[in-house]
Amino acid sequence: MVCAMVSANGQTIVEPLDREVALAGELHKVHGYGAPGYGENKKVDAPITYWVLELPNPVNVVCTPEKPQWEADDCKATKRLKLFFPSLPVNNEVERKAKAMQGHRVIATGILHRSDTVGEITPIYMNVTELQPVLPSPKS
Amino acid sequence: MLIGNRVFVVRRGLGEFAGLASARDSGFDEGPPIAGGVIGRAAPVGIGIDAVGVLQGDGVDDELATNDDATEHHFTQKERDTESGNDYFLARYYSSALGRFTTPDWSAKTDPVPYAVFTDPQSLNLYAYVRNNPLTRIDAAGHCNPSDWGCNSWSGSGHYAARESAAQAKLAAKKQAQQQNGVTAKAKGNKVTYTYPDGSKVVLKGDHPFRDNNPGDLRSGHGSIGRDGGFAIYPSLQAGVDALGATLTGKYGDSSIADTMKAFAPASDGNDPVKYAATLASAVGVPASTKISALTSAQLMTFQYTIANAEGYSAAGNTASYTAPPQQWTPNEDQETRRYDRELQISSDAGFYGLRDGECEWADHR
Repeated sequence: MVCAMVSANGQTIVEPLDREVALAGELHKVHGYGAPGYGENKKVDAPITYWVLELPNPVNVVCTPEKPQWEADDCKATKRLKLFFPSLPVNNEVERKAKAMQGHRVIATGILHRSDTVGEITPIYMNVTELQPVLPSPKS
Repeated sequence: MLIGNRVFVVRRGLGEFAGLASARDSGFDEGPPIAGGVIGRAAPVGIGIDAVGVLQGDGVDDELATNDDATEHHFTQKERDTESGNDYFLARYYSSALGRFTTPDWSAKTDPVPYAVFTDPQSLNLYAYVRNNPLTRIDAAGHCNPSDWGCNSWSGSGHYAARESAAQAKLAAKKQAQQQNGVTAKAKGNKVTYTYPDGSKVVLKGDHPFRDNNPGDLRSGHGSIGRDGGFAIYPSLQAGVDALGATLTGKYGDSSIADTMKAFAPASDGNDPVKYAATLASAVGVPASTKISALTSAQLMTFQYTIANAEGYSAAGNTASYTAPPQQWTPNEDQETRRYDRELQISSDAGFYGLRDGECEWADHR
């Protein structure tokens, strides 16, 4: 696992983008809203469900805004990472593990990406390759 | 034949030598020199070929088939071997007489039928020049290098499509630049006001995809002109659709429609990517295994609009209003009229009734 993690302005910036990272956080399944408004009009927007990793600190990736004045919009950090299990079939091993570890602290390993679309929900998401439970520290 | 001082090398559509012509012979005016004095691929194809027809009549084609031409560069400007009569394409020889390569193309990676594209039977012919479609494709080196994006050989529809996609992306970027030229957008609440250079305004009110001209729900990029609660704003619906296409080809270009939908609309989010991919493939008219980069521009457009519809883009329930530009005042004409009147008065007061050079025109036109 080769990547640099830099702390700046209270957030962790992960670089480069194409390397796997392992992040610890709480695993949750969220019931939210999808197209067309993604929660703007809850009467109209489609209900969706997705997996997230709640992080203790915001995480960010290296980002170049389309215009400097849009940096706050285009390069947002996030404490909530949407998790994708994209390359694997439905009910795959990783997702099966996720179901078993829902609500618990886990270590998610995968590659972070900046979202291109609002459909990816969180500003940064992770393509997950592995999920492991965080074992409680032995009682002293 | 070579009358006058300027001699043109006349080439056919694929750059092969077609003959020599003077401007006078070919019926062209001896006007400004054509760049380099050569009518090449940049010149309209019809003009180049017609010029030869005028010049040499029916015997032109027969002459071209010989090795006695004034240049050794023939089909697509490749050099002709004088002994064999074949054209040297670096990796292989091409026989103009047979209309195909003299040897089949090969693959460094073991593959029973290299570069086969099952949607295109022509791809099975390893001897053919650019899958027998020289109108839109060229072969620079006589061999397909799959790792080379600029692969110009006969096979690898993906490479051609990727190149075409790159050209399309470039064109789309240019179109977007034109479309967004001078258009500004301001988001407030559930409406976005677009102001155009002539002062006219369009207000789009409703959900994000509609009011932001953003059917792909994009966050940024590809010529957006503003931000609206995490959504990018595009100057027109077409610009938004083009941006969606550019995002899809950039991110998922090497993936099939089926794999793209697994990533774009994963099952873990409650989607049905298989059904989604089938819907898209059906709308486009290709198998779901087709790579995004292999879609033609028309197919990509259908693909984009189908996604836009599937993602909920709709004008229903949304509103648009248009405000005409403010009444145009013509200050220049008015000022000019006043200037004429004032200058005439000055001239008159001074007892000067003659007109200096450069003043005749405005005086005469009054």
